[in-house]
Amino acid sequence: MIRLLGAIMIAGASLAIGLGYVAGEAQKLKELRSLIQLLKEIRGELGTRSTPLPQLMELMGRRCSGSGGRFAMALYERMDELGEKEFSQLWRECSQQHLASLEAEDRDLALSLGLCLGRYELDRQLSELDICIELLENRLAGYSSRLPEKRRVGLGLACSLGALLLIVLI
Amino acid sequence: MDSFMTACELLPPGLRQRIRESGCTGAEEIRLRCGQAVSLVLEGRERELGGDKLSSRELMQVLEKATGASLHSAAPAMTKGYISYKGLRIGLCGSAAISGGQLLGFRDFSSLAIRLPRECRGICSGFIDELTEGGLENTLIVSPPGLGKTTLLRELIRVISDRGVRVAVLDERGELYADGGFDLGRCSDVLSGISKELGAGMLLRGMNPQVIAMDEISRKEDQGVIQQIMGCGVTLFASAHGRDRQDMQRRPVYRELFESGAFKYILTIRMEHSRRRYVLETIQ
Repeated sequence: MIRLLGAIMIAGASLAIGLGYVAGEAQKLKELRSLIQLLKEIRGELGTRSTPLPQLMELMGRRCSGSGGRFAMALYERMDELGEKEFSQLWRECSQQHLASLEAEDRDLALSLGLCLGRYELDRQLSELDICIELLENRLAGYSSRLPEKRRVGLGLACSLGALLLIVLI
Repeated sequence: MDSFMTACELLPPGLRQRIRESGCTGAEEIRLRCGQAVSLVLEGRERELGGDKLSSRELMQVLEKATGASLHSAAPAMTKGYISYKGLRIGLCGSAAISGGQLLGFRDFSSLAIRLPRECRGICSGFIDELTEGGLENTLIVSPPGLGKTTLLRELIRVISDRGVRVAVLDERGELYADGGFDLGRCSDVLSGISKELGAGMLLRGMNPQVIAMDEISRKEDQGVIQQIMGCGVTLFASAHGRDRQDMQRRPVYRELFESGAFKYILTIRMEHSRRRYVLETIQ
């Protein structure tokens, strides 16, 4: 009876690990999509209205859903720290907090925008946004095409590991 | 309005501390230059405070605070060479970004001059009776930069306005009123952030002023605004850069204005023995 219970627990844990891995990959994609959506909205708003960043972030926080919207709202709420901290630092801290699931390279791309937004002439900001959006979209396309394969491999590996453990222990 | 404290809140923490500790609350300007220590202008003279040399990063931090990290939104003002923050004027120097012959803004900043406006009650007492004797007349306040033209104009507006005269203040750069930071008297109406050409017509049509006050007339286009105000029978109080009456008369814009009888009085600010002296002269 105890053996059976142990076997069920090992199988359950293996499955949970596999599903967790798959969910993590899906979350990364979701966060990246949300970030791209946010950057597109920022680009549109800056390009048409040249909105100051505090108002822009508040607007984005309300308009965008998901982690992108939460990131924008958190940034807006911390804008009164300007003077104590640089904007790029606030941008970095908020992205670490609200875009934590992103791959390091994706986050670095987003971080580079914090050094440019609000600082240079508008055309340059828009072109930096365009480049960043394009790069992130390319990366998103790559992740999306690899997701089914990753899902299979992740689940398969976790289940196989569980089965192996069962055989060794039982 | 405590312009010294307002200026301090613009500065990065280390710099803020250094300036507060200096105790120079009467400073007229804070000068920040990349590669130099911070200095203050007191009674027209610049005094270095010492300490670390400033980096371009610290200058950028000041501008981030002043613009809400939105230099692109401040670009129209930057093309005039300054931005405003809560009634303070921040003069800019650096490498300009030009496109199609037009100034878009600055790429890097090398110097910032934060001018600290102040309220000086009572500075009109020596000449106000003479100035208002027999009714209000068009008056031009003249002094070199930094001697207090705006301060004097602000006090003049307050005194006249508190005597029940309707004064419409055309505050193009937001320095006279500073978003309510300065008392302009009980009968003043303020139109700020708008050019003189647009604002004068609006005030004349909409506010029925007895006096219109505006800071720093200097351009050829300002002549048209002054003629428009005169044509409506409204008194004008204005200020302009210059040393004295003779200096003004050498310049075509002012010479034409004086010859056309646009101003009755010229009020000159002079620095004598580290004190300001106000000299009222009749032009006509």
